[in-house]
Amino acid sequence: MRTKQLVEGLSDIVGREYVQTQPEDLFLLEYDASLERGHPCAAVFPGSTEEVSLVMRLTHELGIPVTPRGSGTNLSGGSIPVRGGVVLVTTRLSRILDIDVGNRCALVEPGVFNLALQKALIPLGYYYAPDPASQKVSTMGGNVGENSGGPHCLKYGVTMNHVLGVEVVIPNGEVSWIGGKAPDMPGYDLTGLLVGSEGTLGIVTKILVRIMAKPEAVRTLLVVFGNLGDAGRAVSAIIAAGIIPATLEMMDRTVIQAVERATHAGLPQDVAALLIVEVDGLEDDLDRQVEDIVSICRREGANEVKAAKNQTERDRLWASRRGAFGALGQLMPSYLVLDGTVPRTALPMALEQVAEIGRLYGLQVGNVAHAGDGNLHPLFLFDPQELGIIERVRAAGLDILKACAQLGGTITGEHGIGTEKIRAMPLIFSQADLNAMRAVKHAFDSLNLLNPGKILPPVLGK
Amino acid sequence: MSGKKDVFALQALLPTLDWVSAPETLEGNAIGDYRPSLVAAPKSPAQVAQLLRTADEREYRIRIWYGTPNIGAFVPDHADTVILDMKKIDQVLEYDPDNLTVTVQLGCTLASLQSCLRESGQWLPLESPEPGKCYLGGILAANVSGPRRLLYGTARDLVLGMEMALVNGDIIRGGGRTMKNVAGYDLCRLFIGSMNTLGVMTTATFRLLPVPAETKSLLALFERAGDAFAFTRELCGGFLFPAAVEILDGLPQGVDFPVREGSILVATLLEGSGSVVDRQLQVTCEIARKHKCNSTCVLQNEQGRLLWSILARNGAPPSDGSEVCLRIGVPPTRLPEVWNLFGSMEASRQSRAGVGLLYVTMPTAHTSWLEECRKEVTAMEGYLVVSRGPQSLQSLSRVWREDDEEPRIMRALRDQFDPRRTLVGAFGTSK
Amino acid sequence: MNRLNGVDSRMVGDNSQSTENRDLVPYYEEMLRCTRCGYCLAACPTYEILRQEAATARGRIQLLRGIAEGSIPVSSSVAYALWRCVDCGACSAHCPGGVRIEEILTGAKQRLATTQAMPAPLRELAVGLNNHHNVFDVEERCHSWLENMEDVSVSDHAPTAYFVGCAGNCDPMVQSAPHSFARILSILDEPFVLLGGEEWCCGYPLLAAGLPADDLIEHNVTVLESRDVRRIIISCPQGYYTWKTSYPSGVVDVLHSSDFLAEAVASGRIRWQDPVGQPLVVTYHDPCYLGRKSGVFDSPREILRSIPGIELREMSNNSESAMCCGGNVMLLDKSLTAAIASRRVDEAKATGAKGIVTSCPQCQRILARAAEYMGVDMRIWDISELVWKEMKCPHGRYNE
Repeated sequence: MRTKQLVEGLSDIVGREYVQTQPEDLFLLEYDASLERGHPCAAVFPGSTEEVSLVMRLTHELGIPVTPRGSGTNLSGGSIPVRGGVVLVTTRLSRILDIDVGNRCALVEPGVFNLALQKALIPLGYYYAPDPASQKVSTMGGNVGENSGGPHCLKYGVTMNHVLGVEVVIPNGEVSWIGGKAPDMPGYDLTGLLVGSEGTLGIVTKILVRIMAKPEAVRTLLVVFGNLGDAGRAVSAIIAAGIIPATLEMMDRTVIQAVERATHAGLPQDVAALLIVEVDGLEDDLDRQVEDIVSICRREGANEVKAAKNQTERDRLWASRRGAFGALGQLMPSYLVLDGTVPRTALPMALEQVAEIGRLYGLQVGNVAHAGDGNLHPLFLFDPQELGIIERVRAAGLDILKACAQLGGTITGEHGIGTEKIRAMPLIFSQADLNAMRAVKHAFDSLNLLNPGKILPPVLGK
Repeated sequence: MSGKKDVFALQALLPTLDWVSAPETLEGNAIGDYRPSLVAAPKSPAQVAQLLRTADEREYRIRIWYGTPNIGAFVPDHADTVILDMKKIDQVLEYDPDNLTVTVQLGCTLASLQSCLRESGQWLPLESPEPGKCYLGGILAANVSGPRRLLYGTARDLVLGMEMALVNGDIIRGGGRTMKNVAGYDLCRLFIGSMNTLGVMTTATFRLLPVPAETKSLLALFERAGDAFAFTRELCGGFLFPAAVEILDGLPQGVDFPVREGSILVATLLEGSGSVVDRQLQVTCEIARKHKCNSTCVLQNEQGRLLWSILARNGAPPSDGSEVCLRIGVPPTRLPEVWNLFGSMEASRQSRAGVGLLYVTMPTAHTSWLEECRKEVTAMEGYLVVSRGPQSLQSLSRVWREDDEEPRIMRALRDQFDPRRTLVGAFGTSK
Repeated sequence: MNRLNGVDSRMVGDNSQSTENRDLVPYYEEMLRCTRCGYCLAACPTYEILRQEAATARGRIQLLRGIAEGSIPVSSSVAYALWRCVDCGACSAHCPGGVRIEEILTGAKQRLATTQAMPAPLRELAVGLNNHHNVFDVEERCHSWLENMEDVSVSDHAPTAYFVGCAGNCDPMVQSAPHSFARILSILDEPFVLLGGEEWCCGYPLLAAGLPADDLIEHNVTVLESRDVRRIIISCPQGYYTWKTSYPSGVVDVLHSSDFLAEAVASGRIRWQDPVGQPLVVTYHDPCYLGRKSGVFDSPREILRSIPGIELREMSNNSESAMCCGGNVMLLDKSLTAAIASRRVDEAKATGAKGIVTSCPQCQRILARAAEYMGVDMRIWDISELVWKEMKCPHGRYNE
């Protein structure tokens, strides 16, 4: 009865062709890039803010959960409709609405691919700093939901630092504009609150982002280490020397092998770790910075340093880094990518503990890290057909998060809590902390209908 | 409604807290002619939480003192309003130079923190009009910023984590110690700029930077404001990265430099390694000349430092006079229009060009005229606020939209965190 | 019994109990290697237009996995999603895990082609190919371009056969392409055979649909053998790929027309006229089956760069990352083809080029129709036409 009412209501709003109810269509919305799964009862593809608002109002009235979805490349289960209900897909809202060079900002709809925005800015000599590895397929709405980072956030910040305002539809259907082109817009920083809220407080329907002029010059280095610990120490040493590189990325032996197999980028094989270091800014200063970095790395035991000679080489290096996760499919059929952060100086210790946990659980491990931020992505490789493997992998993942928490870090740097890490929340938050977050959620969504079952553990005793 | 209530009754309920009643000491909490009779000075975040909880239960109101009358201060109109002074919660808890982070209690002043950090060659890129007086807690509560925000961002870009005390007696944590952190809701961003109306921030972890090797300032003089704005637009929109760019309609008092009457000045701050600063200086001069700059002068060391510490006052004079100080925010491309809106002999203007801010100081102003200005600014997708002025302009110190109604979500959040409105913010005022 | 190229027609429209689940299992392990990272979404032309999970490699694989696991039944809409793929290979080129997507999808189509789930237009295609031996199912001999060939000397027997392909043979819109190539062969004194009505479709449309193409293959091989042909030069990239991968090896050498032309240019057999006026600015569209799938990127570019009257500007998505014209899904969803082709025309326009050069008659006709429909002033050339137009005639005879 309710479903019929729902489907009719949704069809009235967006047109029947943009409502999906067939099992084979809904089956395709049960998953994202994580290991989680859910079962929606319908899917809707709104084409405007107004339609989003009307859909939310309808589902609110009917008491039906709604889960927003962009490209569905979420890694923690954020796009999964764990309590069923409607999946609201934003892919029709995919226009770049305005690029305002004078005010250094751009207005986009949530379904725009991050890379599409970058490409539109290139001819103007501008770029958008947050550049997650998934940028060619992850949407701006998804980036906002997860406060996406990317290699360049070491110097320039994460999505939160680059969103100036949003138009948001809150769970009861109300549309609000928050923030704007003027600085420090009055009131609470709800923009900051919404970024990273994993689609549980509101659905953003327009995003105003800061864009920046391209730096004059850039230098990209590949640094080779025979020892993972040396690489980690070199990272700390570079920052401690007062250099703020634009990026500081690390890959270990396992990942390097997989990436080379997939991309033939010409990465050196049989090494313990690679660092990709990039510095940008004024031409005058970069040679000196590069010199300093090279001498620091050598001092910490680097075997070799190679500089990318031109844009093509630079692009190839980055393509290899960005394809790192997926490339692991070359080695084993399946993988689980983890996401934790530790203070930078604790990175070598964290990597050691990751290796130990891998040994303990008998799992093959690869490591990719935004080393400059202390944000590590250990990857467990496995064969999904092996009996009991998923549980083992999840248990090992939880141990890694415990290690990160104990080292003074946190349980997610950029992939979000989703459903995957709810059980790890008590590692870093007290009940009082969680209650405060529940209060925030309650202020936006008193019926708990928008993307329920994410981020917050259920209240004890309920 | 309970019987007569005053702060002394609350003092009796919380004897373990420090309470200040000596008149000489209370001079430090003066606002104009007003002197409180009693101030609570808790010694720890736990005591802050205790105070909030007791006050909330007994229906007192809490007003927070941030070290200066210029942030969030107004004369309380109820005898049941308790002033909370965080001055005893001022310790640097953990300083990690290798990781460029510091965790500090928010009763500490900015100047005091900076001197501690400078010993290791680092600094917190935040500014305040009164760095020696204003607590870090005030900077965060009011989202105070200065000229260098152009390059370094504001508090929201520099805070990694914080601790807050809530009216239910809980002490909660938001964020952590790392830059990459998306665990849970971003309570840090919610609390920064909230005037502590959701809870009282007690501790924060900041990210730091190495002190720049070199600092130079360029003063460029223009005849016409239009040229000055065109210059700053090009300067801020290209591959250079000046730390600050301010447009002034006169040199601030105390800075000694021969300037022709009626000139528009642009002060540019360049920081970084020596070669970076020099190259930027050279290119900046070229751009300035392109836009018909009359003359330029480079300020270094003491002169430069003085200039920027004055500019960090955001136009407000140091003395407590009766001036009217306005703060206007607009999209940066609209700055030339608002600049002209306030062009009169009596108004002095300071514009944070690359950011979209204009600070105006006038001896007096009529409410109705300011209302008109505010409407115009609002139509430009901006806002206008009186940050300092007489009681008659009280209504204009509120910053909500035209209908003056608190947006529903904000009200809903306050209902969750402070249903009885124990935390009295001069909410809506940012300085 | 009506044989449709090896498929018993009674099986089409068969109501038997589905055993598809188990039939799909051989590819199940490969399906498991998809970790749902979603990178294929960014590459897929059908996703660019439809923005739905069913229009992606990830979605198609997950559907098949669902069928294999018994979570969803085989249905005509699942089949439709599976077949509504332009078969451009961009997904596997972008899959970081190296999942063998084409094998999974082709294998599934082969199984499902024998059931009633198979979309009707493709069943009709099979019938048409059986009757008229070309993909357009055109009744009258569609090799009419051969009738204006006084200036071309065609041999009865020669070691080389020029194998045109269905589009070039049958669509008047693009017949000047094979005509130009035939003239070039002739003027270079390269003896060649034309098979006319004996040139049957190479079989690609059937194979791509999951159907066998044995009869077509057998016929073409037999005909060539009977004319003593040792080498075919072929204009159709699908044909080129199919000959190389699905035909018995060792029968003939297979060369694409652009490779032949590039060789002729490099060796000096083809020389260029002096340019007149400003160079013509063109861009090059890589056909999926010549470029990404067969690795032939350079020959057409070498040709274009050597022509003094031509300036080549690349589209932002070129070579390995070239975007498909959308032609292969035309039978099932014409509007999808049109939308995909329009994107490509827009991309070409953005380079400032006055024309698109390609080396595939199918791409040529699809893009030409799109440009026409969009009202965009953009000429679509096949490389043979451009070479014929710009080359210096060795014997002093006039080019057209």
